Amino acid sequence: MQTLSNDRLRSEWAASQLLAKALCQYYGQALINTATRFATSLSESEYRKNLGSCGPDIDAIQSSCAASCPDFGLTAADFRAAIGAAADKYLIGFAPREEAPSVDEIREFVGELQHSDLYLALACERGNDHAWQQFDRDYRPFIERLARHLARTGSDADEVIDSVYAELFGTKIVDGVRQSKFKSYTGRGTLRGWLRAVVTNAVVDLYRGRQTEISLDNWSESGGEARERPSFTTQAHRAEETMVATVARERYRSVTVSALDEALGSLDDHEKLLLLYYHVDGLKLREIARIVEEPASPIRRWFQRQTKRGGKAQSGRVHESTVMRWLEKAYRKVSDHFQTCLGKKHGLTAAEIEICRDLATEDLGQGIELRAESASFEKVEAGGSQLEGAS
Amino acid sequence: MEAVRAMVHCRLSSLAGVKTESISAAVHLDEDAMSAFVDGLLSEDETRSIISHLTSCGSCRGFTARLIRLESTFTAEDESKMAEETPSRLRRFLEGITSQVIPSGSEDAVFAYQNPDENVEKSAETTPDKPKDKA
Repeated sequence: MQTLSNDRLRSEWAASQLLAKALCQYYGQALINTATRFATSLSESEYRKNLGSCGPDIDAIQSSCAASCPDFGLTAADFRAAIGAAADKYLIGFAPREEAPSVDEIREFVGELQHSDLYLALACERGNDHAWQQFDRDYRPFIERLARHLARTGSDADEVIDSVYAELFGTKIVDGVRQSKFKSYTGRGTLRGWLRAVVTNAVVDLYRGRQTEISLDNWSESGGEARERPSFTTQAHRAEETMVATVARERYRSVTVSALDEALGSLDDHEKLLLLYYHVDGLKLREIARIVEEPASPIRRWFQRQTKRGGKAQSGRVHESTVMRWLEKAYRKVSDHFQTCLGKKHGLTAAEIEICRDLATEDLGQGIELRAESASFEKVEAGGSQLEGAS
Repeated sequence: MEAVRAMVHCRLSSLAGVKTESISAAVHLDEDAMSAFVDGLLSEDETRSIISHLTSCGSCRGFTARLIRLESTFTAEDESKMAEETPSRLRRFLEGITSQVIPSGSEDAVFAYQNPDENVEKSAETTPDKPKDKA
């Protein structure tokens, strides 16, 4: 029975693949056989068909790139395959959906890609000399400066530059094909941004390989950023406390932790990430503001929607005060949820909730050194209206 | 609010280390996705998916935080160095205008000015130019 149903599923799957191939005829051929996450095979067939419909647009972009760089030796099929892989990864992989993206959605996605960067990377991946010359001319100074900025010594920087170039060129050969790092670049972001990540990773790998403390400030590869922070659950007990007081304290401590976790869990992921960047990863307000400085930034739009539902996205600069306001809003949510949880779920009285608050403040206040920026939080906040940007 | 901030600070810090350990290396974000995220080039749907991962993965979040920090420290340094190495846009613009107004070539010498050497005798000023080589 099981075998039969599996066989049926397999034949249906094979039929859908055939259908997809038939629908894609020419443009879709190179875009098949990449992993996607669809609820149904029918949706995937439709996606392939829609992707195939964007073939002329992709070819037009390829022609334009080829006109600018005629010596790169890339075929239209190479370019279509690369665009298809990018669409699979981002349009489907990062944005799972029930229905296949429409032709217009795919066309918009393709239009947003960094075409010339992708074209250069693809040609470099295939070992084209002209492309490598252009890459070296355009990006080597950036790679070198970045490596020297991040590495501890000049010789470390040289080592990083060498290893980055080796990775980009590809030292492994699988089935006669050189495995270049460029293969992982999809054109979704800029080539410069991608190289920044590649070089940073190479620096981390260099020091990790030597098993020394990484020189990069506050770097922690395993989220161990919290190592030196006092743990809420491991506070030392005071010796003079009586057993009764300790038991009562433990009871309140456990409900406090539980309520706090629930309150944090109630936040949207955008708010959680904001709090994590600020409290765990130590990003400064201006650094957080920087990632949302683009008016079209999805994170910025999300926070703006929360502030002014239905309002138009504002184009002004996001100042530190705006980020602080977002943080403050998250704190208020946590505080409200925390209090409600203690009262309704744990049945604590107002007096007991006050004890929990005091306990939390007392416990968490021990040994915590909030950053200087946090200490001046209230001060900046007072003048926040003058700095207001886009919230 | 200070108390809430302190609670949040400590709790998130202690939770961050625990959650990361349960994430296998296979599901970490790659450089392509992280750099596109930091550059703010992803759509809302893509961003939501990445943010969801970053809230539970200290490793990827730490890396993106590093890229964000680098963006503010290195970009300024990079731009100032670029400015040293290449002429500024204004300078190039002025040079462009100058080259259009003032013909290049031997006539540039018209603008060359040299302080007269005080040791040179005045009679030298009246000395006629050396005869040009006939060749």
